Amino acid sequence: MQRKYLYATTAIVVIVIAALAAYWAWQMQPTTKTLDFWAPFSGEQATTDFWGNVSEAYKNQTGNTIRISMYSGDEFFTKLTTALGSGSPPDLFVTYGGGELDTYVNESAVADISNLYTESWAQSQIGAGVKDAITRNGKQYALPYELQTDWLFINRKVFENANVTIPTMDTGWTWDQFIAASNKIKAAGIAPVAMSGADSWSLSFPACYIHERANGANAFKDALTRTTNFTDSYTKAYSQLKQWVDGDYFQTGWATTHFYDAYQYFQAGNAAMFIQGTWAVGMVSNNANMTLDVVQWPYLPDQPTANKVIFGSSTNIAVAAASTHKNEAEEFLRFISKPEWQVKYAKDTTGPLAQTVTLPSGTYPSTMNTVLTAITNTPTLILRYGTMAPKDLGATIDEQNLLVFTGQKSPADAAAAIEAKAVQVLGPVH
Amino acid sequence: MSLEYSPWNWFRDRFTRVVGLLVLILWSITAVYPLLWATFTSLKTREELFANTWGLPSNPQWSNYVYAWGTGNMGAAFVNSIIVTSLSIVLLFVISPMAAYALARAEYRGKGTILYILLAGMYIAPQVSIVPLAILLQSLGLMDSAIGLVMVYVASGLPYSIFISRLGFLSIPSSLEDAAKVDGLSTFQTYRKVALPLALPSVFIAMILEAIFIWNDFLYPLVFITSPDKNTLPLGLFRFQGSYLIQYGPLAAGIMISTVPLLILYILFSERIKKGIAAGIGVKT
Amino acid sequence: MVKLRIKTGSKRIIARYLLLLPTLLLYFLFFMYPVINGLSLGLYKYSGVSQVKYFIGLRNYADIAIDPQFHNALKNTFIITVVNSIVQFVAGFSLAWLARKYVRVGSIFLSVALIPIVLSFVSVGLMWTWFYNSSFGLLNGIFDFLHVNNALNFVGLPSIPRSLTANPSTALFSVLLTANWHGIGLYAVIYSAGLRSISPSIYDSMKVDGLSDLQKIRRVIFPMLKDTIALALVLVIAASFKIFELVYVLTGGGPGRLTDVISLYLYRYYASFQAGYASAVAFYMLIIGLVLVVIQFKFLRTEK
Repeated sequence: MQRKYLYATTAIVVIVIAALAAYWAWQMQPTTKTLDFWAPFSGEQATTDFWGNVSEAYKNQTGNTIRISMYSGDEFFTKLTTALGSGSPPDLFVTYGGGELDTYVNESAVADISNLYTESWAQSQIGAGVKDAITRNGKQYALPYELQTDWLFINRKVFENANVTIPTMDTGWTWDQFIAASNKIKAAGIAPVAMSGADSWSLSFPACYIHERANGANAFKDALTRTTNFTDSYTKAYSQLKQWVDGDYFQTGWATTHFYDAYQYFQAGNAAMFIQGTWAVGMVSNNANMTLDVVQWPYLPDQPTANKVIFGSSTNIAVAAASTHKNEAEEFLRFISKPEWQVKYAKDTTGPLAQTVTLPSGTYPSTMNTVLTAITNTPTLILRYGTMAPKDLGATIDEQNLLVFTGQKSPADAAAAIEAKAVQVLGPVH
Repeated sequence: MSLEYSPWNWFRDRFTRVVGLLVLILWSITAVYPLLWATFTSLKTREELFANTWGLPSNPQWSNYVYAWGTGNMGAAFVNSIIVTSLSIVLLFVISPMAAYALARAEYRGKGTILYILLAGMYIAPQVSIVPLAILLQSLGLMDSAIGLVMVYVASGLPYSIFISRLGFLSIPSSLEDAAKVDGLSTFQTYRKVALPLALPSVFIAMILEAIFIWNDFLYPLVFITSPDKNTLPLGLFRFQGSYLIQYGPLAAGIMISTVPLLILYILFSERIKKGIAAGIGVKT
Repeated sequence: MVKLRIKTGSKRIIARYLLLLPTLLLYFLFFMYPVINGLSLGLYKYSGVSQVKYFIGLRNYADIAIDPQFHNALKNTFIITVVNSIVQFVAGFSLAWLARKYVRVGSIFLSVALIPIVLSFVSVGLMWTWFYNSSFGLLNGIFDFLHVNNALNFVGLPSIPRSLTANPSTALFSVLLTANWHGIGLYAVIYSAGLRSISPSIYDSMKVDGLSDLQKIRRVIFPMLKDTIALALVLVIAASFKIFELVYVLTGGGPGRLTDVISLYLYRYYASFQAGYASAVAFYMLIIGLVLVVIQFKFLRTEK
């Protein structure tokens, strides 16, 4: 009896191990090279389709497979951090540059791909601005793909129905005009701005503009290099922000609304304005309730209207230093930079390209053309502050934005918290 | 009957009866409705969902399920979840009652310490060990594999399983164990023939609860599985969310796909479960 | 006869250790070792994206201890744990009692009570986001249908805010409501089983005494079900302490940080290249967990 049981136990254990081993072996079958590419993109169909198409074409040409995985925000960084930290990173992954890239470069997590930049296509397609964004110590560490900028999108129909004058891109509007317009829209029963407090990154767009309007284009950078402090500039910025928030111009429940719900609110014509990056152009469709347009962020009274600044960042693709398929990864980067794929990307996703490629007319919807013209006419493109700063400082700034927006912290306290973190991460002002 | 049974008492009893029944019925409805709602949502188009949010679907969109299963990769995720969950439970079933038995009645050196350390594990959040676990799995070559996940789940499920199973073993009258000893059974035989069958309902409960947890867990697969085709169901659900567009129909279909197997298990074993809970809660009279 | 002698004593002890062996092996290798290793990372400034780390001693621990956001998360976690324990005990027990008293409806109840627990936290969070929606949410619909706000205003109370999750005064409540909706069923079933295991003679004898239900419960039933209650409490406390996905999906810790909990706090730091700091937070969690275990042993006596 005892022996039978012994056999039974052994049998169970053996079967379990065999099952696991078989499954493991099945998954481990070596084939042609497979590369992993992780992106913090959405599940937006056009984007998913594009990357599916390009990876398939790549496979047809080279026989290598690119597996693309998309995760959102925190999940992306949790996964990427763990993968990098344990030495099993994806071969390719997206980085927005700035402080994030600094960390990657300083800790040798990304590969040096300067050799790509010596090639002729790169020299003609990759402009100085986006190249600088991914250059460290004279070497290049990622390939710029998309250039996102942040805008104040409006629904013309709502403005017109409420009898509010829409400012042109050239003249812009003052802060007072902006508030007056918001009041008029509010009186008409529509929420002036669709906000998504549950996705705190979206709060940084208005926060950046308000900071710049209140302090000028160099204030943040000076504080970052520790020439000045953050307390003064952010107290000013947050006070202005608080004034705006206290006016109650956001939709009901905005504080725990996610980005996609805010977008839908805007799309349905229930909000007049939507502060987002250029991806909004591809998301929002014109219909009976919506005509999409874009306007400048308002200017504060004591600011010269000629001061034009846009916030944004480039979406770049880096190669992991620990990747065992660096050559194939670089090949993929070359592949997706081909003009035909660049054009297809622009057409399918309406994403603005970071690289310079001639696009046939009609590639972009009119709103995007307005944006692109404005970008060309604007002298200064600033990296979003959260991206510019080291990631840990950026997280603190993000959090202070959120707390001021929801009224849980006073402007002065929030500014002080940012300065305190800056001292910890970057050292004191000198 | 008591002489004090006045009309007031009658009214009070009737009142409490109505309230009591009402509470039970209302609770039952609230327990069931969300799942029903998920079913309805999974069969609606996006437009209908916004137009008729809470009612029955007018035109069942089974295509949502097809989409979720195929394009949404829920089919593969389903298989992966089954593999990981069942293998973890099998292992847990073999080793945790053994440990629970060993930690039940007998006293010996180190028993208390081992018990403390094991139970403390119940309060440790998974995020604590993510980085070192990732490094460990990577060095063992178990990253991005079902085996790796299974090892992690078994190890972290041990505190819980042992805690619950142990109660079952504790409720066995010691006279039975003594009798076994007198009969000359070894510890292992006592365990297998006497103790385990009696404690089985408790063990069973522990396994069911662990299975639910493992099946629904999100964090470990997120960080330890890097190939998209090895995703488990909770990760698969994520695909429909994205930051931009929530595909509500397929998402709800995904939720149903994730939930139905557990529901089936539950329906099949509900009697056993209730018996198990009853047996595990040995009442000391 | 000789065989009998040998099977006592040390051989039994060895047998017990053998029974524990696979458990201890797996537990230490895949649980304790990484946990301890992870905790040691709290002594470093560590981004998590490589092996590069800078030793900074107890600085992380000090920063956490004085961080008001940490206190906030701790407070919320504590509130959630305490409220969940009380509610799931009171409601779970009451429902179990009712189910026993009104057997026919009760059996229907018991068969559906476990349905919520089968749903994953992510699914529950997603569904309840819809229920709480300010424009077309089910709850608001029900409130409107029952003219709840009219009734409240009539007696001088303020209306219920349209968005329960976004309103600062009701945000935590919405998390508690959803979490308890999810968990109560399990405890109702556990207590119900406990009640069933009490022999009918006890119930009969109580009837004769003429005591009210509440008194019956307090004086007779509770002492008999001490172990059941202890078990349920341990389960609730352990689960509430670690609560994560539900809050994440439902409120994201918001509005602002009003419903922030410890595991969310940790998660954010981990995802912003501050893995060293996150590990230090985990250490604090472990300490609190150990305290809870000690409490569990001392007061709930679950080791006996």
